[in-house]
Amino acid sequence: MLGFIYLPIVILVVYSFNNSRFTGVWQGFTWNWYRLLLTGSGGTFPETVGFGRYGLLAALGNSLVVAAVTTVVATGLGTALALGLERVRWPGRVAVEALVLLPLVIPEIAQGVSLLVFFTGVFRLWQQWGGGQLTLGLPTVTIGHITFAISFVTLVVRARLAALDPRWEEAAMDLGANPWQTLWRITLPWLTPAVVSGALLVFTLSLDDFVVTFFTAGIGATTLPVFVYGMIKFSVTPAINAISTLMLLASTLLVVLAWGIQGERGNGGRKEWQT
Amino acid sequence: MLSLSQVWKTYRREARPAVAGVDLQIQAGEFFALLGPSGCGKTTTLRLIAGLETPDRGEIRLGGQSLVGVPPFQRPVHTVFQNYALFPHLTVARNISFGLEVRGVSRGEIRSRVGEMLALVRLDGLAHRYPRELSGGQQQRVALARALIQKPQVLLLDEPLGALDLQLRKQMQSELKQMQQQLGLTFLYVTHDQEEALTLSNRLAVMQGGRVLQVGTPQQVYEQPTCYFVADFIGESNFLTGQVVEPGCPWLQVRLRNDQPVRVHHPGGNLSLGAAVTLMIRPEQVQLQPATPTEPAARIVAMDYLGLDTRYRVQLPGGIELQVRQAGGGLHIGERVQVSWPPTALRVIGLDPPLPVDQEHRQPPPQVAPRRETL
Repeated sequence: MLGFIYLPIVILVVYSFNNSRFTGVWQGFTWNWYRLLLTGSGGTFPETVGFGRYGLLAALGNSLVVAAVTTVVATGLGTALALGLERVRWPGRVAVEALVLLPLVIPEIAQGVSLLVFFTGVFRLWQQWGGGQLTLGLPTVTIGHITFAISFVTLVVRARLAALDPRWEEAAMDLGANPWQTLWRITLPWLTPAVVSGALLVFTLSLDDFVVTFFTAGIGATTLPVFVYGMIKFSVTPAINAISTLMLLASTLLVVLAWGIQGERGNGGRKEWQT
Repeated sequence: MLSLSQVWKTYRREARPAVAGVDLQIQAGEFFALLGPSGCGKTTTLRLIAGLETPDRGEIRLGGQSLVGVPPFQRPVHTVFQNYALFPHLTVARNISFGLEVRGVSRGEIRSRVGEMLALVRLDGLAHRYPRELSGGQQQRVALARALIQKPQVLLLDEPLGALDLQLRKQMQSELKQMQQQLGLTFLYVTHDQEEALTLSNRLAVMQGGRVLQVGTPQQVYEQPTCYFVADFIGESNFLTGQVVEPGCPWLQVRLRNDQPVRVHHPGGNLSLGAAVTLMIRPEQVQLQPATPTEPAARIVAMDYLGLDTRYRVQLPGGIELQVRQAGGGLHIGERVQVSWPPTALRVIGLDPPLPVDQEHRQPPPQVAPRRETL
């Protein structure tokens, strides 16, 4: 079973060291594809990877910017939403609770198409009302990512919030802390591990996302996954394997880090919070 | 100083009020205990005073000012929570200084006051530990220091010693009482432990079903319980039923179910001829002596040796059973004994007041019937 899951990945990684222009045939071990990706030169077949304005580094830069903005905004909003859902009673709370989790199961293709339709519609209206011409680009990609990322943050943060002993907040209030001070001094410190791991999770998701990005990117706003997809159309070289391997490595590291934080400081984990 | 008048509180989705028309007057410098079984409303009463719950009706005043509508963080009362609720991510010192920090007290003053507090609760040297690194007793002291550092006008203690083992509890009891007297503080102490309430408090209120049944000094409540529940809940009691055959004040004559007449001291006396009454007598007030073979006598049917004294179960002629506690041995099961008591030991016990009903559609629960009735 595990072999079934990981065999393609193992092959991907192995062939990223293939000293050949083509992925299919093993021609011996080389670091060249990695050298090419990381330095932009020195590889055996530099023409198979585009660098510069529309190339690999630009795509990587775009991905990082989108992921960073998505992480900051989605973590903030997701945490606030989790607090609102868990701590405040308001009409419609139950409905919102269900709607927040829905994006986790909505097919990504549906999200991508709906966002595309939404953006073009809004842009048309904006133009009709006398605004300037707007086009798809990195901002729309970022907004798209934020829409699905909030759900993940809310999910993770709420789980931890539910485990918070309400007596700590009561004790803080009893000792003279107003609701804001209680939030900053008691509730948020308790949530920190969940917020951090939620942020890492969202960063990974944003970095890896293809479908939503593809629909909302437009021209010139290429992120790394979209760039890789474009490369395949020209030629399938081990450079693609190398890029994929590096992305895999980065994602795995982030997820492991997120787990580590959850595990170490999670419920009953970090000793600080044990009583 | 602290007064509650006609305070009502019904929790959401609960039929019965948790606190039903409570009236309390607590004086400055008092060690006042709220005593009752679990679910009697004592903790809710405390939370209402702390501001963690809002009363449906009624008035809570502190030093002449109403507390209703004042949020908990603006009330000059602080709580020692059951199981302490220490902040696990803060050190002992930061737990204690929390209240001063949020009020913006200067660092220098915080440091000196935390030092004083640590000395007061004898935790010097543990300032930089985390709560998880402390024993139960030490955690309890941190909880106490954290509340006391703010100089509360009333310190609310919610079963503060409930989680400690017996020996530690005894020690903390005497420390608490000493501290309260030395500092001249006002304590409102919630407990379900009658012994704790009796030994610690200057006055106590016995609660049941959301209402206060009796308020008085420990001696008054123990020796002159006004109703069945109080007599039954505090200490051990024998309950006897009978009929008034000779009304009078302060002495009246009651005939027990076994036709035995007894004289009862009842200074409140407004009982009429033929009225049914419940009488109470504490087991330690009954005296037993070996009987001569000729006189009608009671018989010992069971005994438990308790160290300090012995508990006997005695059967009177006519089938009434009495619990008796008496120091010194010399009596054995089956022995014929004479039973006597001091003339004022028998008391007339009123029925429990009916449980208050907050709304019309709710049924009042059935009256509690005397359980140890043996006639």
